[in-house]
Amino acid sequence: MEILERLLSASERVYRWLVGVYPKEFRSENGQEMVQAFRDRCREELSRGRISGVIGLWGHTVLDFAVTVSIEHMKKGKSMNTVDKDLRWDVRYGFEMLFKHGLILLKYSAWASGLLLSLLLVALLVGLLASTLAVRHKEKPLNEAWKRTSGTLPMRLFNL
Amino acid sequence: MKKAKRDPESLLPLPISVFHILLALADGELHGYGIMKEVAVRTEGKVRLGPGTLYGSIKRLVADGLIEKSDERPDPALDDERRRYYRLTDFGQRVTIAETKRLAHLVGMARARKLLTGLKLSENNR
Repeated sequence: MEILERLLSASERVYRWLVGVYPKEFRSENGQEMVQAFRDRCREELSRGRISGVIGLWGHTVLDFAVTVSIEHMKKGKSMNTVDKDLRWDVRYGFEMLFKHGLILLKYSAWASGLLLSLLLVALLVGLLASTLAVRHKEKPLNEAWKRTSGTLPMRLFNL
Repeated sequence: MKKAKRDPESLLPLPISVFHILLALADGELHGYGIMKEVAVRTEGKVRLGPGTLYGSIKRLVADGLIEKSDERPDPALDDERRRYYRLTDFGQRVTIAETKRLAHLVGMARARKLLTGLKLSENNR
């Protein structure tokens, strides 16, 4: 029971901090009630003894926060009109889709970085193999060619 | 007074969260958490308004004169006095009715094209 109470007060503290990110006018008008509404919902979930419910509530609340905080900052002091409504739903839709398809995004990112890493490894391996499989004494053919044309070795030319 | 003379159609279509808030308030005054609960119950948990969406919508609904803050409290002894109650204004009622008619018209069109029975048939075929 004590753990649930702690969870409730910790959740409330974090949410109160999140409310502080809203524009000043908005939070002074609604901040207290928003925290109260969040606490009531949290308490409702905990009264059912469902910690998973609180986790779900947090997921929903973070999404709600991300969408609405940006909207409230963009439209300080404006009333509802068509452009605002469209923007609101566009932003919400964008976040929801991102949230919904987050795993797919993660999958493709992992796939792309895996592919990149494999290519890099193959390139390194080929480089290593090529360096060992190529002519063992790289200077030998050059020396012989030099000797054929000038009759002396280049080392001798430079007093080496 | 000026807002009451406005054409309700000018605000349509309403965002779904706004329509749910207006529907919740159609039965009487409610505070913020009461609206959240009412919407969740009416939609069987399919629509859950977060505090940001709820109070953002409430702020604009008040600014547009669709709802107003109420000073009356249903039962002060049972309630937290810090809670604010909201109720529909006349203009808000007219907007809610106009939106309901608009949606009913859409459903009527879908029904006329036998989309509702079509959906039923395809569900039965599964």
